[in-house]
Amino acid sequence: MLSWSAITTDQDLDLTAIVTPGAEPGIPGGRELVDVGRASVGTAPDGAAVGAVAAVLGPRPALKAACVAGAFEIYNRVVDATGLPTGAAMRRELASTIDVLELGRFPHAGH
Amino acid sequence: MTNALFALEQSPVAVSPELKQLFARIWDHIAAPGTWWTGPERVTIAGLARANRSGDSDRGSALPAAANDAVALLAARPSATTMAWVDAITAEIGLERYIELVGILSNVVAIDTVTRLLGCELEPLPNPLGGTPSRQPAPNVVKKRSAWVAMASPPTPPNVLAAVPAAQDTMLELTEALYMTGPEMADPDISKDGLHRTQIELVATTTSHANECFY
Repeated sequence: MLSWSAITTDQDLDLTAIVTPGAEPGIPGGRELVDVGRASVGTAPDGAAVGAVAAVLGPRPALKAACVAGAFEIYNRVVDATGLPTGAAMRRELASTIDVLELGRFPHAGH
Repeated sequence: MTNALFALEQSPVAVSPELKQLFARIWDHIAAPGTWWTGPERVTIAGLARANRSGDSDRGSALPAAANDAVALLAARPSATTMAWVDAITAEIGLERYIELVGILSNVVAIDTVTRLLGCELEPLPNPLGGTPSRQPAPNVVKKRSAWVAMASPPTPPNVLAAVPAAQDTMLELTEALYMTGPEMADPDISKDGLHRTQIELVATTTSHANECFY
């Protein structure tokens, strides 16, 4: 979805920013948005990442970023709990993304 | 009603009344008897999910051991599941109870995640309500491709909890509010609340990567 949206809308997105701390994704607020995604797996209340997005993009986008992270805490769990397969066609289509994000090392890689 | 407040007063950004009301409705839903679990059992599942997601993995409960194990793993490290593990859990508690459990714990983890990201203390869990589960039979769900459980067709994330329609409905209500609706997902150029689709997917992909989710 990420690559698809960036390519379709002609944005120069650098996916390596997701796996490289401090790297710049190349879209407005990109580094701050990545930090919200990373902070989603924290265990203590910490509004710093959302506050940083608010400082760059404004309060509504910052709240949305927190909400999107929450939504994917659901999707990740329901998919991994039920073994929803990606399918060979999707894996072929996303081969470069899988490579850049080093997804091949994940437990469900290839399923 | 559980009287959940979701004041979220420490948040660095304003939170809409609609989102707070949605979270409170989900809390009410968790507290009430479900399709296969009672209100007290559902709140126990919620509490176990919260504890395990926060690193407290030693907590037991009055739930069947398989249910306890399922909540512990799925809350803390969902990517560690295997088909054999799911088969063993569902053989013990049944597919429908497993699916309802997955829905409850996922919703709690999501709402707790948003709350934490807003710098706020977690909302107390609701007091459970009495009553008996509806035991509504599963609709026509089947195993598709190499999925590990029966689900509705097509086999996509919105359909994976279809064996328990109430669980699926609640998941859809929450994910559509937090992320976007199904028709909106088809638009690569959509903006939601000031974030372009590419910015939204950057958060989504980073979150999924942090959870080691391959899908």
